[in-house]
Amino acid sequence: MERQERHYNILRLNKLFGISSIFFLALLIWTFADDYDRTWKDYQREFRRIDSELTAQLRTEEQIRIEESADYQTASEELTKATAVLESQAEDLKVLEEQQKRIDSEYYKVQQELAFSKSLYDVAKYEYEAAISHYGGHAEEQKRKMDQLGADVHQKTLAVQEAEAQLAEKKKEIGAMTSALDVAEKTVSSLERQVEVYSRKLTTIDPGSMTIGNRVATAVRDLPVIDFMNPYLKINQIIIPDITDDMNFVQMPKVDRCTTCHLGIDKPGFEDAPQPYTTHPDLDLFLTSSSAHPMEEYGCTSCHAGRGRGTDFVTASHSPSSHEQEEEWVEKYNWNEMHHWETPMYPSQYTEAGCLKCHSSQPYISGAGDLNVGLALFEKLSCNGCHLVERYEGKLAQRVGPNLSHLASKTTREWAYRWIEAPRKFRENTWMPHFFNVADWDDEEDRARANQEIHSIVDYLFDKSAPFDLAAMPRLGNVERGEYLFNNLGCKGCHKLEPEPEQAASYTLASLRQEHGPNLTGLGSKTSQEWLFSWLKDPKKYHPGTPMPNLRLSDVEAADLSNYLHGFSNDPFMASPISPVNEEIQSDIAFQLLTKMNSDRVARETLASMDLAEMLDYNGEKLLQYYGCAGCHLIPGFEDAKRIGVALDGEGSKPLTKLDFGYTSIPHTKIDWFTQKVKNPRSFDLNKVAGPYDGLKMPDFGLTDEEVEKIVTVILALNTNDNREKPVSAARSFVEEGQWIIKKNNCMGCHLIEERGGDILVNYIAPEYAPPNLNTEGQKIQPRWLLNFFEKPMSVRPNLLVRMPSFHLGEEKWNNLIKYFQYYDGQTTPYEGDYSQRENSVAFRAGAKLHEMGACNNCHYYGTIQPLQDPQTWAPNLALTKERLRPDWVDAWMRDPQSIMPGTKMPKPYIPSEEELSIADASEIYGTDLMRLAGDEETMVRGLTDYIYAIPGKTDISAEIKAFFNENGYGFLEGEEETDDWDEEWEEEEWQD
Amino acid sequence: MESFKNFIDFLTQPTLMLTLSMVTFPFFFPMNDWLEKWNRRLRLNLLWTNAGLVVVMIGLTLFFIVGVQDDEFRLIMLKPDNVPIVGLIFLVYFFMWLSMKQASDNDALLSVGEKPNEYHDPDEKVLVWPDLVYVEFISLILCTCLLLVWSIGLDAPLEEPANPASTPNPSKAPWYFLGLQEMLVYFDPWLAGVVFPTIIIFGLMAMPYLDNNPEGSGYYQFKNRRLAISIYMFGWIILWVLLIIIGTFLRGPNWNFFGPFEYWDIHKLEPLTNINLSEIIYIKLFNTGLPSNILVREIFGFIIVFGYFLVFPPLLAKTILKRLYLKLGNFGYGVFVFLLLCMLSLPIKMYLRWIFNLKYLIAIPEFFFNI
Repeated sequence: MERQERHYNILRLNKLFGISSIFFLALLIWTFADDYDRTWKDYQREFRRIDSELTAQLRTEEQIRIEESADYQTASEELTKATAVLESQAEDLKVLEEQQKRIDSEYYKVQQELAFSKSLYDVAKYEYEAAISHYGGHAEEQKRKMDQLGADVHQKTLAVQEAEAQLAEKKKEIGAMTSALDVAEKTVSSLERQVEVYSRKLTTIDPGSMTIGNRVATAVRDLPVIDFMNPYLKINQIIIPDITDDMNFVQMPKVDRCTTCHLGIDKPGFEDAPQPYTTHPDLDLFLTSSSAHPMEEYGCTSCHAGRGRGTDFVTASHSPSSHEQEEEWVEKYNWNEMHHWETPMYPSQYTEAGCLKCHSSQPYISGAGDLNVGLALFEKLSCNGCHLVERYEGKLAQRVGPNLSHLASKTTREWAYRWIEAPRKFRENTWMPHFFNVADWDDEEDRARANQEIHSIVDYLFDKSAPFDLAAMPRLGNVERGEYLFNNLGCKGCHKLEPEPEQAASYTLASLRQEHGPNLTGLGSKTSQEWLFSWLKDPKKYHPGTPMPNLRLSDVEAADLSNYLHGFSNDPFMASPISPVNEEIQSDIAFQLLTKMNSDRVARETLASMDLAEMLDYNGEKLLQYYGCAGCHLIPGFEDAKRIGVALDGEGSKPLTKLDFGYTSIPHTKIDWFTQKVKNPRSFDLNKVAGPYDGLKMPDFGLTDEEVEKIVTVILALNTNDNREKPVSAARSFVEEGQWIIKKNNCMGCHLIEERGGDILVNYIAPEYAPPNLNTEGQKIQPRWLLNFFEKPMSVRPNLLVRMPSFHLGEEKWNNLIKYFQYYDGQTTPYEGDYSQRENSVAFRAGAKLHEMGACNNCHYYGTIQPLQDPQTWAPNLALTKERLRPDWVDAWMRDPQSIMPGTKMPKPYIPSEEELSIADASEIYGTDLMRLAGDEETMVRGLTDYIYAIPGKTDISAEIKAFFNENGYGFLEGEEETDDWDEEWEEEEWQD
Repeated sequence: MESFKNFIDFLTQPTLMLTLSMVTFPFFFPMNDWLEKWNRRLRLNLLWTNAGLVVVMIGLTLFFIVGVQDDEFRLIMLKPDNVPIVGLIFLVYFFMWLSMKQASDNDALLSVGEKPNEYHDPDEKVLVWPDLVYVEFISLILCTCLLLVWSIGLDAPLEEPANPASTPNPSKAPWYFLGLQEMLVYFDPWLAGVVFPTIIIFGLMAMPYLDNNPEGSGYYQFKNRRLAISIYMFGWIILWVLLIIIGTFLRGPNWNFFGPFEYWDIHKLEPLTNINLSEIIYIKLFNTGLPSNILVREIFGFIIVFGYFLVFPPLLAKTILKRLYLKLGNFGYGVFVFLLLCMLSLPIKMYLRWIFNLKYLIAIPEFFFNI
């Protein structure tokens, strides 16, 4: 082969190699650039700019502020003055300073000489010691040497001390001249401290304020490759070992890098900064180290969800809160959903869904406003009736609807038919959902079938209704008295009686408490007076599981009330037509239902053997089962019925692919699915070909968009990502247990507990006449008395018309409630002895005197002895105190009643001060016992408490009070009395939440 | 455009597409003179010319450009896992063209009695430096460049954390196993997942011993090796590459078939009721129940399977493969024809499934033995 033989032209290959190498180099640079160029760096640079601008601004403001302050001006003047004075003495000062310098050098010299001498002496000492211990020979000589050196040391020590004294003298002299200036300088700099802090911060972040060296370092430290050492721009991450992300096979500690861009999130001052720098809106509750959720322990995605490791907008799995925002984000950030990340961030309106995963055992989560309303709606709608939710097991009743076991005694078939057909036509806001004519695509045939289904359900319910003994009404009631009772007796703690608004206002926890029971409008169309009378007399007799308590009404009261309530009717509702029973459709329904369980032939044979009545019964039973009516109602034959819906725990983290979107055209996201499901439950059946009993059956609750959003928050909150705090402390579980009882029985409808509730108050002219505030209840009440009171309520506040009902919760529940009050108020001593006092002590006698001066008997009962003043100021029986109240609390109460029960009419008892007790005729006015205590307030109050505990008399005076008011009435409640200003403020601010 | 998309969707139905490709395949790789005549008459041989390359490449590119406009196809096509398969389509054709072009050039030379192009290559020496090394080095750089651009441009297609309770739908094997996964639709797992892959590997290993035709050694040519090349290409293009393409682009939720422009509707249903041969015979044909004796029950399946492997070899040896039989001898021919029959069993089983809803020829679930 010749030398020149080649497959390729080498020159061309050289060119190709050159080009590809350059291309390769360019790509390498691109790789670096691509790796280096991260959006979070831009955010950090921008934040640094904003931060330095803000700091500079703060510094300027602070500068102006202190310059304007009188202190600073004085201090500056002082400083100028002192400087001037010192300048005039400059010559003297200079001389002194030179003298000081000379002494200083002298001092230094003798000090050094002393050090040398000392070391020589130490050596001699050692040699002497060694000599006498080991050889003994030269000990004498050594000792002499040592003593000589010792004397030298002594002399030099004296010289040093002398120099020290002289130096101190000089310093003092100089100090005397400069002290004024020093003080002035110190004052000025302490006033300027904040400015100094800002300035120092600026030198680290603002290039303009940096030293040149720092400026260069700042520029260099973030360069590619070098930036591994100590860059300014770096990813901030919070690692939380205790909270994990579930990766199915392994629990990964959370790593949140959100603060890489959200740099101002835990720093106050950035409230108005643009995102992502904005300060967290609630630093009291979150992020700060003093809050309940410090950032280092909880991070960000523990609550917000999302992808904590993501460091750009899209990969952090941000979720838009509206479709407009989505479009904006697509435009701005090229946003797309990270559909492989199973826990995307909650859109802002659903953020509170993150609370429940830790707080699921609590009935109320303070700070989570929307979630609480959502949970309350969820409970009112009784979602739990069909869908198991672990959190409610054993806490709230599953069946919240009325007992249908004795339906025939309560209402008519016609009313029941119309009610089932369209409950909201009877009451716009009823919680009973619409089961029929729900789907938009229903046709005539579907409607006809629906009518027949309702017929069969009504038929079953009335056929199976067990007889019920209605109590005989003694006489026809008085409507006006009934209205009066309804308004004042406490009914309004749970019930409303007013026409339903067309456009429902948004629910709040308070409004939901006021609707704990149904709105009582239209009862005249629904039931009879006799039934109402029976029900009011003893609700548990008709419905053993009812939450309605017994108000211990007399026959007359019950008659009045039932007459009043029966006076409201809903005529348009009762006028709506009822289509007749259609045998053909009934048999069609029966056949459809029969073939669910039987073969076609058996179904036909069974159907042939049924007459219409049997068919109706059969259909009714199967349909009640099909629609899951027993989820909310007690129905004969369905006592042990199971829930028919899917369990909702974990629903929030169900994979998207497990949700059937059917043929709807909504976006395929979980939130859209939940929203659609709650708002329009059967819409996923759109265009599906299915038999009448093959489709979705969730009823329509007629919710507004706002309500749907809140319920969707709850569903999102019910996820498997459960990080419940374990173990819960005993104290906390007592509190939670009690809170559930309070929630279930709507105690807050009447009482103010934990600063919430007491919604009934708006109906009273003053809080005095409404159910009491239960603030400090655990500190206040003796548990044994409270238990007795719960079991058998007595009259405590004599002038209250509103009545504590009998709830019949049973001893266990009452004990739980008492424990709740105690643990909530930190009163954790379970057993306390009787309070004993010495009646002949000085304190006791002083207390008696104070009591006399305080004229307690103006308002308070003493056993059966009536107070002196009129009933509107009447107050509890003081003879009851020893059984009811805890002495420590009584002490605290005497010291400051307003702080315990704001707005109370109880005045602070008069306690004479030491000066008052030392006036000339003090012994006549105050008596010797008080004088002996000489203004010792604590002992005087304790003496008063002692005295009160010794007041004799009957403790339960309910009968006497009742007798009095039966005779004299509660005229003062009518509002004739002028209300004080504070009453109004009270009502507006405190009692509505 | 809509009608074009509908047409493509129609064309890519599995039955039609496989049938079409199997029927047209012999015209692209003609095995005998008659097919070759048609190959020329239909100008299919132009596929291996420079113009053919340009036309096919442009055609493919246009198809994907049209495809990327479509919302559904774009989703599938631009999925980072699937991008290599788009590349694979171009590459497979390119290398097929590269070899077939040289083969047809050499065929032309040989037919006029000249030597093939490679004849002029030096026998003893290969120009290593700088020719080979330099070119390899440049290729190395360019491939690295390609990988860099690729890795910057497309993010790794990570999905959600693996969850045993929730498998993705569709669950797809890595692309190189999609052919096997496709076989699983038609065969029992032990066959499609164990036996066939093993046979494929052994078959590939056996190839040099079976194909001892000295013609074309050291250079490309088709004419004198058309049987060998065609059979191989059939297995490779139709039964492997095409199945990968089907698995990648045409298999959607629930492993249903979807045209490239069709919406992946998770609700789409396909009739899936299949029955075994024994049921067809005893229940449909004889109207008796299934015999309780397994052997009696499955006897027809055994007859067919054994018949397939016992009857065809001598039959073929006597007829169209006569020459081959003589050349390879008993053993070599036996191995060859066994491999061939195994390969052909896949399309045969597919057609049995499509036409008769046949599940298994031999179904003995009692011993997990199904064919």
